[in-house]
Amino acid sequence: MKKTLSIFLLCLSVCACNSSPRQQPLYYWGDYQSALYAYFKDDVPIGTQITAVQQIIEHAHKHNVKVAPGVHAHLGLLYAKQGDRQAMVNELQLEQKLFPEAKPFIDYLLTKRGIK
Amino acid sequence: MGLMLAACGTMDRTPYDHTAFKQTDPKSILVLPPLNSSPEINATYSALSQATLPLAEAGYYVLPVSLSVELLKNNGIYLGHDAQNISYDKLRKFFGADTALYLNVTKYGSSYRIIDSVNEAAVSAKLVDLKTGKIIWQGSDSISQSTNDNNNSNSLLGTILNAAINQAVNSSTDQAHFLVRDLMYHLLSAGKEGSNKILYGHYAPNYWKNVDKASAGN
Repeated sequence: MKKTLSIFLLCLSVCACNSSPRQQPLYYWGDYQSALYAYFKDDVPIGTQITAVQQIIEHAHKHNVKVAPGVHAHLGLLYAKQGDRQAMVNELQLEQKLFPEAKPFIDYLLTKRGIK
Repeated sequence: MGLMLAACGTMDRTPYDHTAFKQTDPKSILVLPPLNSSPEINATYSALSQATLPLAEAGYYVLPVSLSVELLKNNGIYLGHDAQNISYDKLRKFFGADTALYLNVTKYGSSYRIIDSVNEAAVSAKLVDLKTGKIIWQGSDSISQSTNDNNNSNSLLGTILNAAINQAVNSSTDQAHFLVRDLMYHLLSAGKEGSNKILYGHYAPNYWKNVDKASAGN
């Protein structure tokens, strides 16, 4: 971990010359990418995954930082896996509200029942 | 510490011509399941799960990767190769995204080199306009990390034994996954024109149109 961190930090300093002035993060991420990895590897119970993602969203709200693209939608998928279709619909609608670009995809999922 | 700091040096620094990129001016990106030429099945999951952050922070809407994969699975598409062969028209119709990101993981894992165990990852990417099928950006990056700690052993035998142990530990703890996180951030984060990176998108304060307007006004 430490070695990775030092590579990462070194990269940030070396590669700064090629990027614009660093902006503040746009979103709160927490462990979201780890949550996605766990989902794909399917090695963590769905209930645990749901709790983790809910906490990410709560943290974002608490600190007044925007929830990242895909987080609400991913939570919706997890709810669907547990059989709670209404909760899934709520999350997908939240995703669409935050990010209008999601509309075509979410409309398709909800009307064509792209998710089983 | 024996670190091989190959990370930054191996991304091609040739400035990318952003003309096509600006013409497309994408708002959204669909990240497709990656191709994987490594022997590790986790490679595709690792790349897929760590692509969203740099692209979103660059100012783009990134379609939820888990849902994209689910939709593809429900239509009988399980492999990156099959997903990446879908026509642009179809992708645009079902996902509604402006662009799609095609990833290829060419290296992922821990490589045993007798006196060293080296964690490594390499990914190439291309961003395609789904209306025209045109590639508007491409890049690749690789990263490797030696875990040979020379100070720990006085003998060649000791070094070899350490390497074997490190190899077992590195593989079982999936060290390559952490390298991929750094690699994806480096590969997919935004930069300004004249760089080899993607440009900032419309959610970002540094959105290239804002920057162009500001300089035009001066």
